[in-house]
Amino acid sequence: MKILSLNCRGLGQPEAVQEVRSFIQLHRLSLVFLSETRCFNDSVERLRRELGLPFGLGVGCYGRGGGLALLWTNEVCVKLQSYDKLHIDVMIVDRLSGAEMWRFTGFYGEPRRERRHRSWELLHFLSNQSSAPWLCAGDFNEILDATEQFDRWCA
Amino acid sequence: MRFWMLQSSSIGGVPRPESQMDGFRTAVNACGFSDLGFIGLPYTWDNRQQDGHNIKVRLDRAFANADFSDMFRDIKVWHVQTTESDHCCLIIECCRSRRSNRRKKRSFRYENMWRRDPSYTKLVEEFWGEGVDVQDMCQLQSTLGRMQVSLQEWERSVFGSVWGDLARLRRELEDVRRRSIHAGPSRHERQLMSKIAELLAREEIMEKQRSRISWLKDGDRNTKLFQARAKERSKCNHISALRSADGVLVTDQKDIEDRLS
Repeated sequence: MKILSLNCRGLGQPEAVQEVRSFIQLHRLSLVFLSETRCFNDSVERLRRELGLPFGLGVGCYGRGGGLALLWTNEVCVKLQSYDKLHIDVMIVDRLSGAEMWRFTGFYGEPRRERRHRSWELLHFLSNQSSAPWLCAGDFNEILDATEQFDRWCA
Repeated sequence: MRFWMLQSSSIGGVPRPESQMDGFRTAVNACGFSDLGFIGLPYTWDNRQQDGHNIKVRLDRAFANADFSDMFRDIKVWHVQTTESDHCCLIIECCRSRRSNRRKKRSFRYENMWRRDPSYTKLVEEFWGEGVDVQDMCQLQSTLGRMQVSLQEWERSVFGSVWGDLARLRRELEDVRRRSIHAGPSRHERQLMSKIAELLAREEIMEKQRSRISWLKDGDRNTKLFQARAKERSKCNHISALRSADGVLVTDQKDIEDRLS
């Protein structure tokens, strides 16, 4: 099982879509989470077609940035739990029994510093929603340790 | 827009205050998350500015709780270099056991996109077109087998080269970027990036051409046959019992093999 998470900074250019498609083909991905798609509506019809993935759901963006999409192949069976402009939370279920197996959350941390606390409130909220095995990936727009930033001050 | 970046660079790019990271750390602990680490360059976003203004940060990551790590014993996260975004992508591979170190030979898999290439029909017709006479199951089996080999070679020649070139260029790009962690993009890096962009654009055009081909109705018959065969193979190539011509039920594997050979 291979999963991709990418902040794609807009999927308007054909090359950008093509790049994602190349990852899907090369790495045989089952689940693809994209942030900053900059798609204005929730429809992922075009993305599904262009990326060659049969299933997907999207969250349209409000301003210039933002926009999320989660797409998957028929290798996984996905049940939507919740979503907003900062996350898509799904449960991977067993195709036959429908039993919940594990949980995936695609996360997009609030880009504005003064609103960053909303990201952490959301994580606290999500942690109380389920106790299933949980994988969470995305662009958190924040670091956990000062060593995760490289600039002229740490050279 | 990355407002924190603008703010921090306006005060000279000094390290961000601890308090800013505290909220994140607390939330991560509350979720019971462990950082899954990464393979590759230590950052996921590059502002692509030159030298003194260049900032690289690990903004993207993957976490899992303890139950997930128990469920999937072998989890790897790769930072794979991109050219269209200023973020790299995370590829998270989750395996139930650690056996995956042994490199498995890629099994035969029918791809829908094959049909979009005009040379695909030609290849299929070579095996199943008029004038090809299949008399019994044995011949059918061997024709399918030969066709599988041809298809694999054909796939490599039609689709494989572009993806292969892309993968190679991305590895090269990672090497170049590794050498300039504390600086902006070098000329070499920009050259590589435009090479990759060219390949992506070319593939985009090829993709459009492929999808313009409308499909013959009787192409579907072959498709079903293929999928059936691919599915069959993926299950298990195993005969557990065999009734021979004289009515004896043979269950021993050795005997079955002897009778079939």
